[in-house]
Amino acid sequence: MRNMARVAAAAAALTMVAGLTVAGSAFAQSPTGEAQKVTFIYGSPTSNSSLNPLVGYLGVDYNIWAMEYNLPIEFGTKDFSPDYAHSIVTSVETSSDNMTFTYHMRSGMKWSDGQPFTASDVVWTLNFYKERNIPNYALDLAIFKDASVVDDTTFEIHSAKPTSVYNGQSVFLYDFILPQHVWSKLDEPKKFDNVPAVGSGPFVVTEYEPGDFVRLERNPNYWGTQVGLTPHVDEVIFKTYNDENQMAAALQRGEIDFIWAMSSANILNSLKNKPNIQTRGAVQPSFEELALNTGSAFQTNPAGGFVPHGDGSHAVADPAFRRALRQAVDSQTIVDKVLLGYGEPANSPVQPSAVPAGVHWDPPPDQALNFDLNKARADLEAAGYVDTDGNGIVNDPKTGENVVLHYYTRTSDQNTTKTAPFVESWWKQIGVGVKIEAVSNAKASSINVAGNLDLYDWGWYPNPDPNYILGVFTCEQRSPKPGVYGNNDSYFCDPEYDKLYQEQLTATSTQDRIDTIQRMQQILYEQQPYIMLYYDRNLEAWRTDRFTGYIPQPSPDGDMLAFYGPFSIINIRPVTAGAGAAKSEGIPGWVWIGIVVGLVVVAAGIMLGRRRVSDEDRA
Amino acid sequence: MSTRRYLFSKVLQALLTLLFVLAFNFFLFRAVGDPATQLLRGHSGISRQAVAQLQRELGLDLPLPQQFVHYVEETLQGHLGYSYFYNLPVSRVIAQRLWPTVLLIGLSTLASTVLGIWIGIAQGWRRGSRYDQGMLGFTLFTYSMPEFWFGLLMIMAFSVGVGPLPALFPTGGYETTGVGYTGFTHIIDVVNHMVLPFVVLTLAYLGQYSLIMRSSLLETLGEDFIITARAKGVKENRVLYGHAVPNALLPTMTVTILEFGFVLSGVITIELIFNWPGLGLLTATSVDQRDFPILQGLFLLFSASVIVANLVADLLYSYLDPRVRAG
Amino acid sequence: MRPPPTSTEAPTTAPDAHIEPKGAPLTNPRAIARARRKAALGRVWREYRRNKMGMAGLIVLAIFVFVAIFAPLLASACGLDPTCPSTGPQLQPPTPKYPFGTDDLGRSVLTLTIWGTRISMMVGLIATMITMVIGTAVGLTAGYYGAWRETVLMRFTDWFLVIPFLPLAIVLASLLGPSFYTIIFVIGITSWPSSARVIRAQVLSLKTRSYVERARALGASDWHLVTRHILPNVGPLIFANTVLIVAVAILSESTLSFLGLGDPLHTSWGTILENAFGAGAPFAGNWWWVVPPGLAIVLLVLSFTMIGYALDDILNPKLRAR
Repeated sequence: MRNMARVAAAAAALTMVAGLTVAGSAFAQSPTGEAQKVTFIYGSPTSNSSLNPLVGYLGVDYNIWAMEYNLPIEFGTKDFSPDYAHSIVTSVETSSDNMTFTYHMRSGMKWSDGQPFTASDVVWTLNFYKERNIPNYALDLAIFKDASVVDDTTFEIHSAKPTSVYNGQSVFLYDFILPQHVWSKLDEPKKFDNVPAVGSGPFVVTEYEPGDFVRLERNPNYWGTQVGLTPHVDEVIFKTYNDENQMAAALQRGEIDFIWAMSSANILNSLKNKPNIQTRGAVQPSFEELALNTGSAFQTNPAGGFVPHGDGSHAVADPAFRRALRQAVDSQTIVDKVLLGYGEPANSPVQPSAVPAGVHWDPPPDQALNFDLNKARADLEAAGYVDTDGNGIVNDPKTGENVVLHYYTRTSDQNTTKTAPFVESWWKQIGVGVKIEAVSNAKASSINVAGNLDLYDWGWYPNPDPNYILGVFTCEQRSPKPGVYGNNDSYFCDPEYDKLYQEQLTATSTQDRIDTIQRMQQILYEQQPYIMLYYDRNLEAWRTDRFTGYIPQPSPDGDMLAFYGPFSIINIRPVTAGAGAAKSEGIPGWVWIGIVVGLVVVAAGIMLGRRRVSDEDRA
Repeated sequence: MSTRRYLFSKVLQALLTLLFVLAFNFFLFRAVGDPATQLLRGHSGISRQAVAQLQRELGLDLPLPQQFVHYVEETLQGHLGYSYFYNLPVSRVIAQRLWPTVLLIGLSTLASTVLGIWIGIAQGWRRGSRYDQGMLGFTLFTYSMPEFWFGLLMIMAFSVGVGPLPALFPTGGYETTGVGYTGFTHIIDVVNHMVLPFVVLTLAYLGQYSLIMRSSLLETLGEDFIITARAKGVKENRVLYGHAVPNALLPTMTVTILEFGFVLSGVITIELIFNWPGLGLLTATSVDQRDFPILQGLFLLFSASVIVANLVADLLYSYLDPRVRAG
Repeated sequence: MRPPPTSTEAPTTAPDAHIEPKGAPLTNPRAIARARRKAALGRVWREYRRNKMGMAGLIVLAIFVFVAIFAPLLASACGLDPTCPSTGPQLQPPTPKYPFGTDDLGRSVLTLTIWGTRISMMVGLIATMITMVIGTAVGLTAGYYGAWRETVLMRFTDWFLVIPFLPLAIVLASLLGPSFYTIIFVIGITSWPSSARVIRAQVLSLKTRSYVERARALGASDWHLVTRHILPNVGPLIFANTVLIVAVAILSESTLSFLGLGDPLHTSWGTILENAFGAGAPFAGNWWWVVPPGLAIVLLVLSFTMIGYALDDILNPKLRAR
């Protein structure tokens, strides 16, 4: 019995050794066996939500589409100005009544499946988006009436009113052009999973595991080669990491090449000093604000079917009170402590890099509401907020009650949790009390829709053109009654502002439009529906020994993967030949076999050699 | 009660429980609130008409009992709805995450059960010895440890590398991205990725099984038939392996199967930390994204597997222990 | 996640009919019963003192209770507030001034850990109380009355047992909002089934004891039987079980907080770990932020577990060495 067991163990060991030799030789080959493919892998903490441009809406979704599709006119990498040299549209003419715009396209373009890419595709796409009221593009097309084909390389856009937005001086249509021959045949376009995809960009999606990764491969029919846009990468993979520690370690080990949009500044700082890794807090339009309830319970303007609802305080509905609050928030401290320096204080929801160029506004020094607790206290008093009962909290002149604001942070964003104690401490010093509560995004949204808050901490990621973010503040965008969603979470409603909003859309000269938008930003600053906290940076890191040739957008401090268009992804190339191949990870196979053999031998030894339980062992 | 009647009644009970779970599932997620208003903010230009349209599409304007019947019908056909976040069928998203979890749970349960039982037997037999005390301390320690904390420490030690320790193992995931290994190299690749989560899960539940085995064995050793066996002169080895262990093993095995539900729970945090693309990770991310159709489908799947595990335990117990069948 | 450990069979406790109370003979039956119980408790305590594991657990528990009660004296509450002047440089490793280093807002991790004791312990204890109240009520009723009450209650219990703990906890917590009250509620209502089962099994075995039948024959009411006979004898093992459940409740709280379901504005050991994880402490190598809270959880849970097992060893005659 014993001998047989020993023989069996020996035979097992021999077989393992034989297997080891075989496996070891198998490992001598490279994984794919063919010429090494150049693969670029980038990771991000958020998964993309959908490959379907009619449905998805996240930043990471847009990144994928930017590689697969084209906009009519592309955003230039330097400063978002129109890049006609590298767009499907080469020039635009405006009619004298400013309502018909003639676009000239390049010829000889094809989709990835070989079908011709012509003006019909553009016309069909824009009309389709308008007809179906696709949320992503609805505001771009608010003043759009329809488009029509003139010939294969020419089309016209007709607007409902005279305007400058389609005149091609600035990129306004942030709308991806889809292949008509694929999408017009679908019964339910919104349910189309769009993989493998047909696109006109340098790469198209060929594989998708939801929540895990997206694989894009070279488009063999990419028209960009006509104008010098030739990719140096065969394949792009976007991988989702649900944990940023994992993602950073993956970059450090060379498992991925680029980290995009991390949220932890702490991790970024640790990556800074690692060999062959470079980091950047890239400038981006994203901002964070304290959205104040300017009067959901008190307003009477019925635009959009609005009825007063909710229980926000009178104080927050008073612009003078809000201005005092603004002067009691030190954005620079928050940037330093909460963002570890990766950001800058903000004054306007329209970002510095916004286009048309020069549209961003900053308050002149004599109008600026700088951080000054003494002035804040004085302004509060001047507005009638005094501490009448001596308990350290000012009283509302209208109701006589202590002013204690209901302040919501969001559990999905640690920065909101970290910001709150600072704000609370400053406001306490000017006599304003707060009651802080942490809720989920969905809960925050429904509280806001019900009007039952004084303020919450949230953010936006505006488009390069400010039309969208400005539209958020129009009366019509307020939630009209509890349970019905509205984008205008500060319930800001100013007829003058609404008038200006329509004016900027129908201005016939770009300069007029810019002037109007500046005036709008001034109104927002005076009224403070949002206390703008900061513009936050896109925290990115990449390996310097793998790929080079990243193009920042905007230049020079912007996002290195420049996902408003495909330019960066086209330009990157391996640092040296062979640097672009994906690496294998972990302990090699033959070591594993050795370990298993070792364990088996040890186990066999224990089992066979252990003395049997003897009678003296009785418990 | 005959075997067939016993089996029948057990299966019937399992089906009843399943129905309860379906109802519970449905009403729980309806109580969460109107799904249409869960649309995330920042959705460019979302109009109120779009929200109303979504409500109609989701059938939310029908009365509740009708929605429930509809829900049961759909579920039985395998249609678990559409994910809010991914806009794909729930069944597709879940199916693709199934295998990694099955692999991880299967192997780690096997390892922790075998090791736990082995240790428990050795402890029970040598109660009070240094081995018993030592292992008791060790198993109590691992039992008291939050498994996610242990996972974090393992990552710090072996994936990131601390001090002189090199980063031995991949940091997470199921396989190396983008390379498309096949065959043997693929297996080794997955093994490399699985080592750390496997070790953490195994150690986390090891203590549980060894403690139960130990108690069970101690109780069995106190039984009369053991005294009888010894009085009859049966060798100690046979007493242990021939008499005590089989009897002690029975309740241990059934309890082991019943703990399946808790292993499922533990796997959620472990998959999150190690980025292991299984059902646990899906649960964690769906909670973050408030993706209720997926949560509903996962809930159903988890409950159903626990029900099945319980059924298996009952049937196994009845098969192995004739006393139970006799009622 | 792990369930409260249960013995595989319901252990029995024979009433101590052989202990004779010391001192002058008492005539009042209540006084006799009380004296017996006191003597029994004394016996248990003496045996407990000899149990090394149990004593170690008790000492560690005492330390934690001390820290929880005297937290304000040990570490100023100001240290929890990032705007407090006592905060230091962010993310520093341990120094004499900050023995456990600082977190990403510059707060002392030692202060955080000390204050975290309060919430972690409180949540564990209150959740356990809820569990035991519901579990005992259900188990007693089902075991004592039997018949249809038992069938209905046990079916109900089985249904609840089938639903996996963490997914249910997560969904309930996301329904009710992130707060520690939610966590207490969630742990309370998901843990009672296993206690109910254990208690019912105990009651069942006690019901058949001859002294219970005798008491009933003498005309004792249900209430009398339950409170005077069943409960005191089920009591010790319920107590041992409770102690083990506290251990599980503390672990559950830390897991739920770690997953982001606790109140981020307050400090428990779980939320400290959640913050550390989210801020990238593992990758950045901020071990001082990760180790102390986790170790605290381990030690506290361990102490409860050791006490529970010591009690189980003592009170369960089946486990006595022969």
